[in-house]
Amino acid sequence: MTDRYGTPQIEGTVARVQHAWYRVGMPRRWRRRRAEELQAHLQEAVADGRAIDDVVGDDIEAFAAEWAAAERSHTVAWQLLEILAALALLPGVAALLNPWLHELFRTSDDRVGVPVSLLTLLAVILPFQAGWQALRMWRHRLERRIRTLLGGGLTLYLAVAAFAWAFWLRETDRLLPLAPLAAWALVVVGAAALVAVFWPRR
Amino acid sequence: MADESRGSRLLRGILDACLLALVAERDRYGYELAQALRGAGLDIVKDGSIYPLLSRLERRGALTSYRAPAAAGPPRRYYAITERGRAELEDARTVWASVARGVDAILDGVPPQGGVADD
Repeated sequence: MTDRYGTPQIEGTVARVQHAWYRVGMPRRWRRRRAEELQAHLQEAVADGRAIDDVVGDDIEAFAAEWAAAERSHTVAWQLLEILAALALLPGVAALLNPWLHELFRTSDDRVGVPVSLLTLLAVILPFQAGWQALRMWRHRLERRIRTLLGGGLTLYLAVAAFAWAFWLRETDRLLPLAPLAAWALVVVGAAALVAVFWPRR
Repeated sequence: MADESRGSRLLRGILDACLLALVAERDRYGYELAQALRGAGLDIVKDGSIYPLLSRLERRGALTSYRAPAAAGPPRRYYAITERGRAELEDARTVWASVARGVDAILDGVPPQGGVADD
């Protein structure tokens, strides 16, 4: 059921655009402000007999990415902060928990330190995550065929890397020992980066 | 299709100046800007493509924006030009006039001012 303003379709479109903005790290205030502007535009366009596609095109994600890219310095900084958070927080927490969880981590060493298998896992996942986010951020600049190829390439990379990790890299029982203070420093830096990333998105 | 693609490519570098010129006349909101572009015959400009440009112009201080209630529907965001925006618009007008003169001269086979046509 729809009214002459096409309200359900407009709300659906605006929600999809907002979701795409959330995923590339745009702050909540910015998302709200731009969503309100888009909604007003779509309502007038539909009331004038125009289609939603006439406004946002046939690729909503690309439309959202192009608008978000107008704030490029912001989105790139956020992606880098996300990577920094993962690189600091996960090894830091694992290093502090290793004395109790070394059997779970499959290390024979119960000192404070980072299991090498976790570092190799991060080395596998982070390039995929960074590539996927870059594809999301710049999809409006790529032709559909190139996007599909890059998406397929990233998926293939993840499959091969996950296979390699599960069968070879995970088996190492080595530990990278860390001073407890260094482990805590990693946790603090990682947590600060995480808060900086997610606080504005709320 | 090919004409549309060429038109889009040509417009890409000058659309921000068109938006500045329209906002220089009076404060306008997004849908009004899209209508004005269509009214000027620039049908190939997708409505949605003006928003990233408006964001960029606002970010670099050429435009400011404010929210105002609409008679019906959600509030509208109006854009207003700044001094910096007016200066950018003047630059863009000069560049466009010079480029258009040169391109016209070549496409129409007319020697540019001060130049001599080949035999």
